[in-house]
Amino acid sequence: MKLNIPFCTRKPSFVGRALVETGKTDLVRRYMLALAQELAANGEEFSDCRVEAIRLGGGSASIMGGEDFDRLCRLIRERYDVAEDAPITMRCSPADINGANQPFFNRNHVSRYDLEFYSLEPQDFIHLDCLNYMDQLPYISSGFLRASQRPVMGFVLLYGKKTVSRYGFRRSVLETTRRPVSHVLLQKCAGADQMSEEECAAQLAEAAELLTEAGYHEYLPRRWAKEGSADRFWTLSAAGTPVLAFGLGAVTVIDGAVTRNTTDLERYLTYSGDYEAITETVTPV
Amino acid sequence: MAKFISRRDFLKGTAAGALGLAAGSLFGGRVEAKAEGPGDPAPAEVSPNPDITWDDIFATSYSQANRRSNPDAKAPENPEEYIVQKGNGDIGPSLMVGSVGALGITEDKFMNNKPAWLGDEPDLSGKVSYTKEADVLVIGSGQAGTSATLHCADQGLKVICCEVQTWEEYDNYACDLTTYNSKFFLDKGAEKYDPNDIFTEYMNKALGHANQKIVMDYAKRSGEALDWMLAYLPEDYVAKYAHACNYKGNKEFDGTCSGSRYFVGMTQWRDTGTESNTNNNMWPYTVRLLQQKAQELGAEYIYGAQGLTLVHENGQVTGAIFTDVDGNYFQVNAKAVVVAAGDFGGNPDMRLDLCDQLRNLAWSYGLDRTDVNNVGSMGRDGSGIRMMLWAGATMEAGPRAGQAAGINSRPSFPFGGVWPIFGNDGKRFFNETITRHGSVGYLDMLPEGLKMACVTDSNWDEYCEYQAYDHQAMDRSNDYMLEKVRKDMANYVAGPDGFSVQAFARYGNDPTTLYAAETLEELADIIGYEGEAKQGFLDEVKHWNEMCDAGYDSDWGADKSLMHFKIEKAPFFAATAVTGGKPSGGLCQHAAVCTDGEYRVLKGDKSPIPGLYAVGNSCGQRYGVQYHTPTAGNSCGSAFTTGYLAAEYLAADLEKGIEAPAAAAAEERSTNGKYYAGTYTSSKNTGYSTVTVEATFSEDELLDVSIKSSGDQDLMPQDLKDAMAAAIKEAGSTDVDAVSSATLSFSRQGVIDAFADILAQATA
Repeated sequence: MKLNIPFCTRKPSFVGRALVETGKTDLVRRYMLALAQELAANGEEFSDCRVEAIRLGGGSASIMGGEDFDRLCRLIRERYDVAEDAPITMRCSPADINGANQPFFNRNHVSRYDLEFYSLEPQDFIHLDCLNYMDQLPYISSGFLRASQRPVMGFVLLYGKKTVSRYGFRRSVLETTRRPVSHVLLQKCAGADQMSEEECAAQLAEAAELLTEAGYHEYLPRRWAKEGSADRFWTLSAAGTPVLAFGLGAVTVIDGAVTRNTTDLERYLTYSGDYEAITETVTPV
Repeated sequence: MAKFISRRDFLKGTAAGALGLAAGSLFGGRVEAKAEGPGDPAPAEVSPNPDITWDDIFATSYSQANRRSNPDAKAPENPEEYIVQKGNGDIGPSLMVGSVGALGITEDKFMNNKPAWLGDEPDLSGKVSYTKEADVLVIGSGQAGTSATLHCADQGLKVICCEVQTWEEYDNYACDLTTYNSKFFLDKGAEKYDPNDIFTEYMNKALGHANQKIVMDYAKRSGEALDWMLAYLPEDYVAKYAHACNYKGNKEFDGTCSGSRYFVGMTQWRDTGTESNTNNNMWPYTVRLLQQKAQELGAEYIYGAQGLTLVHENGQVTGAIFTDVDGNYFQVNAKAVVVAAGDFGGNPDMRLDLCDQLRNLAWSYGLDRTDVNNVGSMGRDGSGIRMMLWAGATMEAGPRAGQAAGINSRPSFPFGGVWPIFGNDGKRFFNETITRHGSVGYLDMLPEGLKMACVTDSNWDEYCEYQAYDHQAMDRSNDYMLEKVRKDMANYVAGPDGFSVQAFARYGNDPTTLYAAETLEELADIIGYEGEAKQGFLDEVKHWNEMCDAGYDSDWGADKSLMHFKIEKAPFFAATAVTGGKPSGGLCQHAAVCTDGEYRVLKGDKSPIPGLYAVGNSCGQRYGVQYHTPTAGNSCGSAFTTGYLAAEYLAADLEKGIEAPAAAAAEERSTNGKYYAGTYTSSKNTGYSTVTVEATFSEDELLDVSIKSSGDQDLMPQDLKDAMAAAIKEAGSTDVDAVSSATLSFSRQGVIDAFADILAQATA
């Protein structure tokens, strides 16, 4: 199951995909209710499906906050058959790891966090169009996530950006290997600052060398994990397991067909409980 | 909703027919057609979402925590099990009571007298299904709530403590506990301090903003509180996990740096130097043990209880309403209520409204100051503070700061402390000893992207002996930690990839990357100095060493304790950071409600609310405009002490008897008629306007009514004031519908509310 939470508080210039930039808690709450209605309306339709993994992404999913996340999980477990060991992965802004959210994230067994650090080299942030959460990292890692005791903490790192500092990308990867990080996603820079394809490939090769040496393996392109920490959602979907996806622009693959939800936010907010009204395209696999 | 075909059947049909549909052209067209007008024959099955809330989905109201969704949770039964179990990561309470959206407050009313995060107090009295009675009710069981409950119990009071987490999942994220002059420290040879010195240093750092009584009590009695607590714990447990920090190892430090005094007193609860040696933070487990002790002394704990509102009548607080783990509402009646429900750092709307520093730092970065997510903070949801405000409490005055903007923005070595820091051009650009305890926002307001290269040499260990015991500093009293750092440093790897050293500051499990080189030239290359900047760095190091020889920093006035640190002997080490990137967020927020210094919560007129006490992070005025303090760990230590002391103050109040002000005043008045004769005044604000109503009564009748004001903008015309006053006088009540249609609705409501208040005061 994939849940799209397509929001971020500020979209960095190096992010290519469509995201809704907002700091308005009211809009996010409206969206979460719309998502809940889509989930509730479709539950019976998929009663023969067992959910083996849940991924919350499509943006900084943690922006929803612990309260709505708690209810969302409760709804999913009520209306869908979720495997007991189904891992929940959340794409997460480091800013959302705090004392108000974490009890709800923990209680609902979020087992993997994809933390949007983008870089771990302080000097990179002179050039990176994103916030630097390195100061909070000790609290996030040891205080909230207890990352040294369990394989939950993953980093999203940026590669292929022209203006990072001389050692920036290499040091980010090295820093990752020195911390209790269970998995890594290497996200390619988009936009005007993108390096040439050759340079991007060279950075990926450098990362591969460092990560391999540190005990990570590449289970899917640009997705690295320690043993046992591969994202089950991506692994299963890459192997052809059907995907139930909900939310703005969500892509469901099941019964030999691919359906795409609308990318029109207002339409989704208004009609999310009616699959006909929000389905944009239906194509055979 | 009737569909012509189910979603699954439709999908299967699509696949079987190998048919691709641009669904938007079919279904989207129908949606748009439906919106055209009442005459449009749009299909009935396409309809917008109903206007619902989460409560409609789950048929519950305020209970949001879904606390029983973790049936596998199991409380640890011994320290070893706790250490293993720590990996499940269940930590921290959060109440998350009611949301801005649920309160139905529109955005345009935010930041008015009824901010969105506060809203209206819900009336839950009709929902209560069972009631409990106690002398004392404690809401929350962190540091402060635990000490308050335990100390109430050991004074023989009947106490109930309601905690939002279940026993199985109980945890918190405090780690250091600072107290002063405890026997625990003195027995280890720590210096005994004059409490007046501690008090003075705190008040100086607080710029006089803090409540002097709270600070003096902390200076005088926190050590006593620690020893009291330790007596409740097994001796072997204390010996194994309680570490008195910094009482040795900084032998060259004279206690003062840049005019600031530093005091030893931090206790860290860690699993270090043991067989398991996980360096886990043991404080949350310690709190569990204390809760069990309180129960042995007769305290009742209700876990999974989510506080919603205080019960208050005639200006007195007499209990609180909660939901239990099943979502049932219950009420606890008590003579005294202690709110120990934490801060508001995790509530973005409260953070935006109440934390001046974080909001304006975001603004100073060109970020949207209304974007609550621009500045992160790691605390609780502020629901305890909200409950108290509903009951009439007042927030402490601003500026209110996060704990603590900039606290960690200076680069540091894993062994902590202060070292020379070099900027983009290789030159030092600030006084490192002034920013010893973070920078309280200073570094956040420097231009973004200034390099801060923190540099030392092979004498780092010796230099540490001159360092203060500080935030981010390693505990040099802990032999295990010291040896670990020495070992990592001895195994350094030179070169641009750096090497990792175990850090013991903060939570202790975090590694720090350092860079090493055999020459300063190589180090300059590694940390990114080129051309003029590289030469500037090399010249500056030479200049620094000359100033060290002179024992005087003629550039920035760094404290003399730093002037021992010549950078001259290989290998050389560096740690780097940059200014800016974002305004540093905080941990918890210390601003909260005003108290009288003995934890009695005050109203806006600074009179106490009988029966209501606030402790820990729910208690305001413990700090100044920032968390700027002479010892790391004092937030938790102070919180613990407030709970301990509040238990004593409220016990004394209970001994004397707590009385509602209205009841006390009623005893002094007498009447033979319907009213207490006199002139009464009441003002009400309805969001846009304040109206003041004055009414005069004889014992038998209402003699006169006048509307004195309708706010700064005087929105209510005089003729309407007169007409409404006359109508009220004639009716003798608030039943004045006759004039309502002619009156601005909010002003009219303010008049009615004010007169209702007067009637309540005057009626016998």
